Amino acid sequence: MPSLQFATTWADRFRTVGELFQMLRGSGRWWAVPVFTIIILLSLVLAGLQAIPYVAPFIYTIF
Amino acid sequence: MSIYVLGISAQFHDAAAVLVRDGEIVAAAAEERFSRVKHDSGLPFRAARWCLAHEGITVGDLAHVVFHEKPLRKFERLLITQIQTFPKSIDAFRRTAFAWFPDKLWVRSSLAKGLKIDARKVIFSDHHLSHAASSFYTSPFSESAVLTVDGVGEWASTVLFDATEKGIERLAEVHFPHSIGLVYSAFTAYLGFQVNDGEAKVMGLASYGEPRYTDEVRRVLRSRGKDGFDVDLSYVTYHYSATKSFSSKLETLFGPARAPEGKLDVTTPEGRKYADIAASLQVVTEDAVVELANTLYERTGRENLCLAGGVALNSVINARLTTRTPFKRVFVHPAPGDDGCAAGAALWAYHEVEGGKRGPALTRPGLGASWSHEEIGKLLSDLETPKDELADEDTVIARAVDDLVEGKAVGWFHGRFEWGPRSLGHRSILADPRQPGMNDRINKKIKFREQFRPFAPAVLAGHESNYFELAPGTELLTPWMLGVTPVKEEAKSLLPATTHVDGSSRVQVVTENANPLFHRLLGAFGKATGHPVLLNTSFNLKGEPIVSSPLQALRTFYSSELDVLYLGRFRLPNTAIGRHFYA
Amino acid sequence: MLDQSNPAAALRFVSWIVWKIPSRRPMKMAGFSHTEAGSSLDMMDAAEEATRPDLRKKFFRHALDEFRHARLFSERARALSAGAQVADVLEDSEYAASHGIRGETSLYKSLGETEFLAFVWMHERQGAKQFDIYSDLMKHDPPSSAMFAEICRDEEFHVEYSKRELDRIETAGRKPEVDKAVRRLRIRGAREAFLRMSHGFGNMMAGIWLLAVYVLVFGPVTFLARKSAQVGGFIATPGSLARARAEAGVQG
Repeated sequence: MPSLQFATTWADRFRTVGELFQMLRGSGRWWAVPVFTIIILLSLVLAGLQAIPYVAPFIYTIF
Repeated sequence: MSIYVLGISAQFHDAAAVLVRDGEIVAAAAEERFSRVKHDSGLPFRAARWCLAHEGITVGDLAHVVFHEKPLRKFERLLITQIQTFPKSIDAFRRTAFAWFPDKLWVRSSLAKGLKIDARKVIFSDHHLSHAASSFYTSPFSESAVLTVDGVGEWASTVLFDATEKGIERLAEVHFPHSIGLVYSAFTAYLGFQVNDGEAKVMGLASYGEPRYTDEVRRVLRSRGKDGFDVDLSYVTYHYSATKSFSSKLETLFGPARAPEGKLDVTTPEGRKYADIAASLQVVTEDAVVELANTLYERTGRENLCLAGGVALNSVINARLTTRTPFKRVFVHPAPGDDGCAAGAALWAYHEVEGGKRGPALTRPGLGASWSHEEIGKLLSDLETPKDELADEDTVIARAVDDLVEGKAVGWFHGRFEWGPRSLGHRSILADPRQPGMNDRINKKIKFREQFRPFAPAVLAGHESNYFELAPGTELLTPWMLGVTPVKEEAKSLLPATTHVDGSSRVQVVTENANPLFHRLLGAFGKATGHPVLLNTSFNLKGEPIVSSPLQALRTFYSSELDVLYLGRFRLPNTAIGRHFYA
Repeated sequence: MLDQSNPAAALRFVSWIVWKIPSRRPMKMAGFSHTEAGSSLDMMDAAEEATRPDLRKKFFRHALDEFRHARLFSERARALSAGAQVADVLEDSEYAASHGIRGETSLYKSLGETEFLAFVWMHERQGAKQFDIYSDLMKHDPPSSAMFAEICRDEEFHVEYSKRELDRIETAGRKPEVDKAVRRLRIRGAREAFLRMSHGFGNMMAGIWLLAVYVLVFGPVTFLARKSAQVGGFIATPGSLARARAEAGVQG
C-alpha cells in the first residue's frame, strides 16, 4: 500500500534524525547542533520535494 | 537451522552484496557485474536479489541486512570538514547536499523499500571494521593483527586492530584528512590518471622510474614514527574540493601535473620524470605501511597479519610485509576495496552480533553467478553463432592448449564469476606468456590499454618456485593475485609477456581446490610446452566491468580482436569481429 | 537514405546552433558516447530477456552497433579535444545514472516487448534524423561527417527491424496494442521532459538555498570548527568491541 510505504519511510526518516542528534551530543560538538538542525530541515524538504516531482516546480516558485 | 546474513556496501564506489551462511560466503557479487556500470556506487539491489535467488531464500530468511558503514558519521565528517574549510568548500558542500539530502541520508529506508523488509532488520557496521572483518574472517587465522588502510571511511583512514576468537578489537586510528589512500589518489590525479581507477596504473608506472623524489613526497606524507603519520594539508585539496585533489603547491614542488589526455611515453624525459615520481610515491607509501605494520606488531605481538582497505590492492607492498616486518604470514581478502566491505559487514554481524561459530577460510574465488551448458547452448543457437560443441572438459582443455600454443588470445568463460577485481580463471583472457609481443598485442588490440600496463601470470601450484622468488609467508596472497614478486633470473626471458620492466610479476598460484578446470588447463599446457604458466588478464575491455554472463562475453569477444572464445564447452572462432551478424 | 524533401526545419536550425561552436562539439560527442553506451546496455538486457530467437539476434546486433557507436563518439571526442574536460566526461562512471540514461531495472522488462519495440522504433527514427542532419552540418569536418553518416546507416537498420516487428504485431490483430504503446511512449516522453525541466529548475533553486545556508550558517561557526580540526597521528579507541555490537542498530 503506497500510503503505508509513505508512512514507514517518513517514520524511519524521523528516527534517523533522532539518531543524528544523539550522535552529535555524544561527539561534544555542541556548536554543530544548530547547523545540523538547519541542514536536516533542508534535507527533509528536499527529500519531500523529490517525492513529488510534478508539483515541485510550483512549490519552488513560492520561494 | 542456518543463519543467513546479507552484507551491503554502497554509496561511494564499488557497491556489492554478499550473502553469508553460517559464517561462510555462499554468494558474492559487485553490482557492476549486473548493472554494467563500472564502479557502480548505487544500492546493489540487482546483486542482492541474485544472492538470495542463488541460495533459494527470501528476505524473510535473513537474520540481518548489514550496511557496511555508519552513514550518519560519514555525513558528520563531510559537513564538519566543509565547515572547517569555509569558504573554499562551497562546491563540495553543494555536491554533498545534492547527493545526501534527498538520498544517501535515508539509506535505511531505501534498503528496506528496495528489499521489501522491515527497516528494523537493517543494522550498521563501521567502515574499517567491515574491511577488517572481510580479511580476518576469511583468513585461516584464529588470531591476527589487522591493518586497514584506505582513503577514508566515516572518520578513520587507517585503523589498527587486534583480532581473536572474541572478536575484532580496535586499538588506534588515524583520522581524515590525514590519509595514505587519499595522498596516493592525489598523486594519481597529478600523474593524469582517474582517481579510484588509476592507482593500479601508478603502481605499474612506478616500475619504469627511479625513486628520486622520495624527500619531496615525504614532505606531503609525513611519518610520526610510533604515532602514525600525518599529511601536510597545504599540498592537497581533497578535503575541500569537489573536483581537484592536489594544490598548486604540489605542482610547485614537483612541476606541472600531467594532462589527463596526454600520451605517456616513458622513454621521453618528461615521461621518465612522471615515472620517477610514481616510483617515489610507491617507496614512501610502502615505508608508511611498513611502519604502521611494525607498530601494530609491537602492540599485538601476533604472528599473522591481515590487511584490507583500498591500499591493500597495492600488491607490491603486500608481498614485502613479511620481509620488512616481524609478521610471519600475511593475508589479504580477494576484494580488499570497498566491495569487500559487504563481505566484512556480513561476517562481522554473523560472528559478533549473532555470536556465530567461526566459518571456514575462503579458498575459492568463484562466488558469483554461473550458467549451465544448456543455457549457453540455447543462447548460441538463438543467435546462430558459429560454434563447436566439444564433447567434454578434456576436449576443451586439449583444444585450448592447441590454441594457446599457436599464439592465440583466448577468452575463457567457466563456472561462477570471481569475487573481487581480479580474474582468476573463471572470466579470463589467456595467452602464452612465452611469446614476445603478446602483451603489446593484447594491450593494443584487445584491452585497448596503455602500453606500460603489465600482465600477470597464472602458474600451476607446486611449480611457482621454478619461476618466481616468493617471499616466505606470502603464500596466502598468491591464490588471489595480490602479491608482486621478483621473477627468477632464468625465467625472465622465458616469460616476457608477464615479466614487468623491473623484473617482477603479480603471480597467481592455482590450486586444484580453488579452480579445478583452470588447474587442469595449466597442467596440460605445462605438459605441452614444459612450462605450466599462462598470461591471465581480466575478460573485459578498457573502462568496462569484467564480463559476467555469456552474452556479455560474446559482446566483448565480438568487439575486440580476441581469436577464440571458450564459453563452457563451446568453442567460438571470432568471425571477423562478429561480421556474421551483419549478413 | 532518409526523405530529404521534408526536413525537420526546426531540428536542423537548433542543431546548427548547437554544432556551430567548435568547443561544444567534443563535449556533445562525449555525451553521445554515454548515450550510445547506455542504449547498448538496454539492448543487451533485451537480448538476455527476449524469448524469440530471431528477436534476440536482432537485439544483440543492435547492442553491438550501439557499443561501436559509443566507441566512435569517444574516439572522435578525444581527437577533437585534448582537454581534461572531455576526458572527465568520458570517464565519468556516474554519467549514465546522473543523466537518466540507465535506470535501475531493465527497460525491456519495465516496458514489455511491444512497448520496447515501439520505444526502439521511435528513438532510432529520431536518432537517424538527427545524425543525418549532423552529417550534413559537419561537412567542413569530413571525419565527423563520415562518422555520423556511418551511424545513421546503422540507425536505419534499427528503424527498419523494429518497424517490421511492430507491423508483424499489428498484422496479428494486435494493432490497438501497438497504438497504445506509441501513445504511452509519447506521454512518457512529455513526462520525462517535464521532469527534466523540473529537475533542472529544482537544482537551480536548491543551489540558491544551499548558497544561503552555506554563507549564513557555516560561516559563523567556521572558527569554532577549526579549533577542533583533526590533527594527524593515532587516536586511541578503547572499549570498541562491545560498543560496536551495542551500536549495531544505529547509523551514527
